[in-house]
Amino acid sequence: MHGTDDELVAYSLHGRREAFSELVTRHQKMVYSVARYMLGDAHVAEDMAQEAFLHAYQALPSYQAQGKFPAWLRQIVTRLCLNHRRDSRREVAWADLSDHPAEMADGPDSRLGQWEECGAVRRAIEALPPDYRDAIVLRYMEDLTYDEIARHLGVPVSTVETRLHRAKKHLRRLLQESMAS
Amino acid sequence: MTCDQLEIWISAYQDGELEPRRRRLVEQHLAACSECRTLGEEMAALATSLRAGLERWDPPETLHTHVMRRIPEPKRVSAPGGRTPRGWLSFGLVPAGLLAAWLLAVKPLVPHPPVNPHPVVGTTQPVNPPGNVEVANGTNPAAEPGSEQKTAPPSLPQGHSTGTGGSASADHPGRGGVQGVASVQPKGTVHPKSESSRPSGARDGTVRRTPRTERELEPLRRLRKLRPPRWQERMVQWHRRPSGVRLVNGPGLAPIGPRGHTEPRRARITVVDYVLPEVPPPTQAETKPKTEFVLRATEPYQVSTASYDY
Repeated sequence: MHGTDDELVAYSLHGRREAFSELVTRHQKMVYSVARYMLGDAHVAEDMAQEAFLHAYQALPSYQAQGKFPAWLRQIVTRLCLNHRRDSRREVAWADLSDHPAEMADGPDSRLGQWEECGAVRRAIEALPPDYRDAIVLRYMEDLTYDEIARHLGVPVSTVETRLHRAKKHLRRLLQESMAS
Repeated sequence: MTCDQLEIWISAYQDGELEPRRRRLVEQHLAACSECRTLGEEMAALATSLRAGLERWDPPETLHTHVMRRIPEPKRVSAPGGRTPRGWLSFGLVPAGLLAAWLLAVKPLVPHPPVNPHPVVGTTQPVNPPGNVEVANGTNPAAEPGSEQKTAPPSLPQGHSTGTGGSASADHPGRGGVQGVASVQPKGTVHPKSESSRPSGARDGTVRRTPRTERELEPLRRLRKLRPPRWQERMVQWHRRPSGVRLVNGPGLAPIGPRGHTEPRRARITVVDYVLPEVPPPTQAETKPKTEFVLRATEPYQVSTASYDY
């Protein structure tokens, strides 16, 4: 099924499931990646991605068609992940999980390739505190502005500035150590 | 500003997120400070490597399937023109059926007397069918809310229909204002049990008389003024109340029916007793005067005592 996101939303509102199926196909990578980086667990991230799409489907009537469906969807998954993290109070030991092969979602071949290409950066990001990690992911993976990050995370812009700055200092140190070793 | 204070701005400057005034400050500082310039270059390089290294994860292949499995089937779109006939049957015809049943069952059995612009005054012997319902307020301590199967209110002794405006009653000590019964007959004018006072042709013992004297008319006028303008709405609002109801500020609103009835019933109210408040002075006009009534239902049972039509 073809069309813009807003057109697909309109079709979905008229009861056409295939339109929403196309929306899921288009944006599942973004939704899953945000959840995966924010939560650090492949299975929980998949659950959150499912919940995000369900929430989006139920909230479609409130969506205002302005060509910003990905941003709207990203906000949903971000909020769900924040709520999940706050409610469950369980923080995954990122360093341990990232070293475990079973935690990699993809097959062994692609896993090895990703590990070689961006393993150091990913491991450094995964070692960040969750608040810093959220800001870094939304800034450098999703290319959001500080204002948008603040809206997604529900914090002031000054907090975003501080978190990003500290996260970068943290990352710089981690990457220097990684290169040295 | 020191280098430490500017560090956070240098980070935002490299992201292009600094407002113009701060950006000029940072640029001036970077031109003068080599350490901060080096820091800025490192931040820029870090941002580049982050953008390169932060790749999106490939979602599991089952994600799409699982999502679509949880999406509910779309609802069937109704035919143009609104509800389907089934919808009207389920929502529209039920109240209509209830109304029809009420009209057939209740209305012929207990016909409404015509609305009398004048008060219906005076009774003799209350007709007390089984299960009649009395609605009383706090002025009658014996008539508790919810009480049923009462024949006559203890607070309404025979001949009590003589109380009129301005006369305090021993039944309601301490209450200011006007107290009396709706059958605003002067004492001795109409004896409740007097057969001679019942005109021929009157049904169920009700004597309908037009008040004659000013003393009779004055409290009735005041009662009419206190009648709520949209009393029908309030009646519907109260239709689930039990039979004992404390009415304040106006009669004619009570849900009357045997205990357990939940459907709305249009009830005609008989004013058994009432307490009118004193008229407030103009300076205190914002405090709305309240009138309390002792009431008796005339429907679905023909209980007629001192009746008063609204």
